Amino acid sequence: MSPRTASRFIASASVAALLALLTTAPLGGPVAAKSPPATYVVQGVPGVELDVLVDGDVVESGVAPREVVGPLDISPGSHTLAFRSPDWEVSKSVDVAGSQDVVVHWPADAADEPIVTVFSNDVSAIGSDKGRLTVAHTAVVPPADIQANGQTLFTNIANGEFISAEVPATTYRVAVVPTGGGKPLLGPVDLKIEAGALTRVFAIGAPRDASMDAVVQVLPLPTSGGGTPKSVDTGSAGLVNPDGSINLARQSVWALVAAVFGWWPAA
Amino acid sequence: MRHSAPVTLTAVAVLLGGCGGAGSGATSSTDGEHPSAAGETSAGAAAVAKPAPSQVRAEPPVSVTFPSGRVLPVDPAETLPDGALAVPQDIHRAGWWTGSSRLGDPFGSVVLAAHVDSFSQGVGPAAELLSARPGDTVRLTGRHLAQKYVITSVRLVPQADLRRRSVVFSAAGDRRLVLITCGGTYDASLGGYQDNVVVVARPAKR
Repeated sequence: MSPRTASRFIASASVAALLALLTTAPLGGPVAAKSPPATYVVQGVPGVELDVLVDGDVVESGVAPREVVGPLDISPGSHTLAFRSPDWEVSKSVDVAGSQDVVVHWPADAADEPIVTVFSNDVSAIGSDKGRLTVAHTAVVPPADIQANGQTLFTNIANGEFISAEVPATTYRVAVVPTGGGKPLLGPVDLKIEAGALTRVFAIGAPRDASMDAVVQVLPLPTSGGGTPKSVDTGSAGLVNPDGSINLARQSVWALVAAVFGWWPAA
Repeated sequence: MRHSAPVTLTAVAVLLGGCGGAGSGATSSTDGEHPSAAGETSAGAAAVAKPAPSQVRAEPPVSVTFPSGRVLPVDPAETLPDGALAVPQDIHRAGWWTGSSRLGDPFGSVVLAAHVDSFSQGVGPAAELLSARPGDTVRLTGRHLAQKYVITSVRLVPQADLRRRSVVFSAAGDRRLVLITCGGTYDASLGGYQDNVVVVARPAKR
């Protein structure tokens, strides 16, 4: 299975892995995120198709901008990843561990060649009606803010940085704006945040040639909490009156019974 | 107000400096200057992305301070298969529903519950919530973060209706603290307390 073919099966395979995890995980405590290592390649260079090489071998050719390749069939440890275009080739060593995205993208300032930045994926458990949103700055723009539904959600993210939060699962109107104000660099666009999933957004490209764009990658997550409670039973003895005062009659009976059963003085 | 982030927390982490152990482990320390750009690592190795300095590392609450000043340790609490929240049996501890928001999350309810009383321990500290009033303050602390909240409402909610009040468990809406205990009429033949006491508190303005 080629890496790109594999990418089409990421979701289903991960769901299967998740189900296996959930059925074997004991109850109590958030389910530990023990996902297998998975390294993805994100093509964040607009206007060019790239070949992706691992340790000198082409694993995928003609990768279009915004395309995500992976997970790569690659063992943990250090590997050399290279990205080749007709005009340039960048080659970097990458430590393969955990879930991560290897992004080839332009730096913030003018440069002859793109750079390679590795973003780790936080695949820990999340509440079942929330999604984890991570925004990565891999575009040729100065530090930026992220607005969601007109409100500033994240501030001052520079090229090569990311920011993350857990948010209610719904669709947001998202825009990337320069930190300090100005016209949006990207958007506003609708972004759906799925429940129980990690949604990663990579801002790529440059405003000067109108190549600003976004790559969106979604990975399923284990969920924590066990679902919304149906009941919260937080009392049993009837020692408290509706106004919060102590029910003296029941309190004295309780004290007597507690003394007999050896509970006293537990409180 | 250019940098008015929606999350305004006491970032104790900055004061303590480089306290390791928290967070995803996938990120390095960020409490410093804004790095100019990535890609400045040793030649040959790909740059490793850093979290932006404005990143808030949300974390589970570990203690809650009631209006009286009484402090309760907070344990993680899951919803059991029968739908009941597994509130700590010890009346001197509170449970934080692990499906709810954490300290530092930008939206939703941080849900805490504590027993008002028990047969083995008598009346618990949570009994004071029944007489709490709007304006009273509650403080929540994590390992590195802390937040003061001001109570905005104290309501008796029939236990069967608890789930229908979206303010209680919802991940949506402005961030808030929801404290739950039991109260109302006690009828042993109907299973005990008939209501939940629901205290809603909003982050204190600073």
